[in-house]
Amino acid sequence: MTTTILLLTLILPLITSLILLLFHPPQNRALQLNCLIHFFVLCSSIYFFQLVRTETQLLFFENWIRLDALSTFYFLIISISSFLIALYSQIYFSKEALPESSVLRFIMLWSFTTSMGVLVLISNNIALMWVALEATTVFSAFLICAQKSKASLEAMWKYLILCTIGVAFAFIGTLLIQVSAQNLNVPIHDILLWNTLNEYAPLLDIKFVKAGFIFLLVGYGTKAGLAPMHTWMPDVYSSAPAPFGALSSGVLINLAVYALIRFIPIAEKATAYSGWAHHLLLGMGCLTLVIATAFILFQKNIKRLLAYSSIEHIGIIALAMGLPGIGVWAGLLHSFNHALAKIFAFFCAGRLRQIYGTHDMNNFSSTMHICPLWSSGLLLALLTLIGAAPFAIFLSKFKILQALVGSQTWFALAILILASSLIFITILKYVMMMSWKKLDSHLPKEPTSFLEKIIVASFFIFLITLCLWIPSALRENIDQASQIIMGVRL
Amino acid sequence: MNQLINLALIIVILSTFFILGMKNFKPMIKAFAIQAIIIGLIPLITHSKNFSHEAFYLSLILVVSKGIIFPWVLMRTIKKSQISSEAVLLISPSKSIFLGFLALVFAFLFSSHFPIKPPFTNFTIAVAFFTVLAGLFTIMGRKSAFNQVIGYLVFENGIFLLALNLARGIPLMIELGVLFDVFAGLIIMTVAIDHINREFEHIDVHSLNQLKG
Repeated sequence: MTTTILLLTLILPLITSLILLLFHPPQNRALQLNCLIHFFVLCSSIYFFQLVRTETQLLFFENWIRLDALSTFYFLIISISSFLIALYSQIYFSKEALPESSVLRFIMLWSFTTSMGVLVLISNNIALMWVALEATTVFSAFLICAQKSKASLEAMWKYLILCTIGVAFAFIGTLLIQVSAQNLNVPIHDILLWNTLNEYAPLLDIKFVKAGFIFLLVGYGTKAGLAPMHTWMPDVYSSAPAPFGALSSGVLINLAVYALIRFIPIAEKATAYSGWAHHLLLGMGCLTLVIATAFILFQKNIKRLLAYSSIEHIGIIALAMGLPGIGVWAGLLHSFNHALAKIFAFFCAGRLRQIYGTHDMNNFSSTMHICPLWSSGLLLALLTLIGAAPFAIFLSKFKILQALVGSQTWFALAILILASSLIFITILKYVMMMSWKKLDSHLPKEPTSFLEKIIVASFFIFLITLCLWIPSALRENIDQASQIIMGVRL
Repeated sequence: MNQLINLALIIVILSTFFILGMKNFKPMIKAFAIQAIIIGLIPLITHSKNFSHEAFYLSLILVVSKGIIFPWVLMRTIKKSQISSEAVLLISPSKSIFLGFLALVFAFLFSSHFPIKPPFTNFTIAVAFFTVLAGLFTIMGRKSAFNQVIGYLVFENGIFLLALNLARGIPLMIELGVLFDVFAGLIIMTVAIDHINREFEHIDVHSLNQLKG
């Protein structure tokens, strides 16, 4: 039963893309099918989430597939994100004058990416994980130029070259980790399995583990958007359709983060808990935060702003992963909150772009009168992203600050506080300007459908609730996942 | 057997230098094909005494895909998109070759740190690293998007050689998965080049600089 569900989760999206490729259904049908498939993936993620609560790990197919608290946590993030994006795509693509073949191609490649994304999360074999992650990069590239233009082609090329080469570095890292395990007394075929590596981590060759982890950090870091390998992200987000921006920040980035943090316990155990891997992440996080802040201050384009904000939050997550204890816990929660807030921000930015026909924030004015629904949504999303209370990110950011004070890392604390306050002021200024500044030209009031209202309302509930109350199941899951990262739990 | 491997590796080095020094795409693709076929044969050479079906299938698939299909896709792209077959260089061929020598020396110094297991030697690891570096150099040192694709494939060849050297027990499934990714990457890149060529009427990546900030 469990195996069947797992296989279906992997295969159904592939079948969907095949159906779309062969039968060319009308756009509406395709979008509905897409929703259905992602709803199934969501159900399956909840099923496994529940299952892992009682059992520490689930192993399938000669230990090639493994689920534990960490994988089900990220599985939940990507499935919730994907389902919401699928719902939103119905609205977005119906208002966008795109050729039907473009939309079909978008959904086809997206389903494929979903299947590969699930494979990243459930594979125990670290090389298989790499193969799946590289496949998500390659197949998501064409999503960027659904609307063919010079800018989107340029962005797609940058994404293709930077991310494929970047992720290829992670393969060298994977090989180096494998070399470090050469003298272990385990069967050859188990050497690439994560749980074997994790179990025997103290016996690994330190030199190769360190070299491997650095390659993995550069490789998966490129895809996650850690500075200085982040340069593709603003270009891609600004010229891709809004659902891609949401998909990237809700799904693709989280996959890369997941792949990277899988190796923290191995590196930490191999270096006898010296904090080497944690320090590396802390440093990268600080650097990323500084660079993202510098660029946010001078943004005019709403989607570029969101891209730099993603880079900022990835920096915060990396920084949090550098703080064993409450920091790692808060980092995981931050991944969840950021994914929700950012996909919502992209939804709003996408709809407002359709109404105003521009990405330039100077031309967005009195959005509150033209389209109150999406405008208040954008207000909520941006307030959440800058960490205002009482919205979700406030809680995780507060916990991270607590961890920084607790571990007395004053330098990182100073950077985080300074960066957050600068970003807070800048984005707040833009939000006020967009929402209430008097409009020069006259635009008709935009009607909104029932589905749109449902989506916005559910985000309001999500983002406020997650600050005040975390469901106990989720809390337990994050507890266990953070124990896995800190190497306390196998 | 060792001599056979060494001979193969020398051909790999020469073909890489050929790619570094070439201005014209078509000989470059042919050099890539030779390199890919030689690397594809290495699993077969190392298992020549104890024949294994796995090594045989791996070699067969590698030679057919990387040695025949990949070059054919590249040639077809040149013809179909009518790309001028001259590469625009940022660094002259003689300098490229000089940098290639530096990379080779570096790769030899670097490879001495690795644990070796027969039948491979430090030489094989050095060649793998050299190929990786040369691939990266081809991506960065040239102006044409087409060149970046060839660079990517050379880079991937280097990684594959590295995997053959270092990896004890990478299953055939994984090798095929990697190959699938590279193949998908190649197809998507060539389609992208076709689109870029039609939209911009050139494939000079240095002129792709509209997006800033």
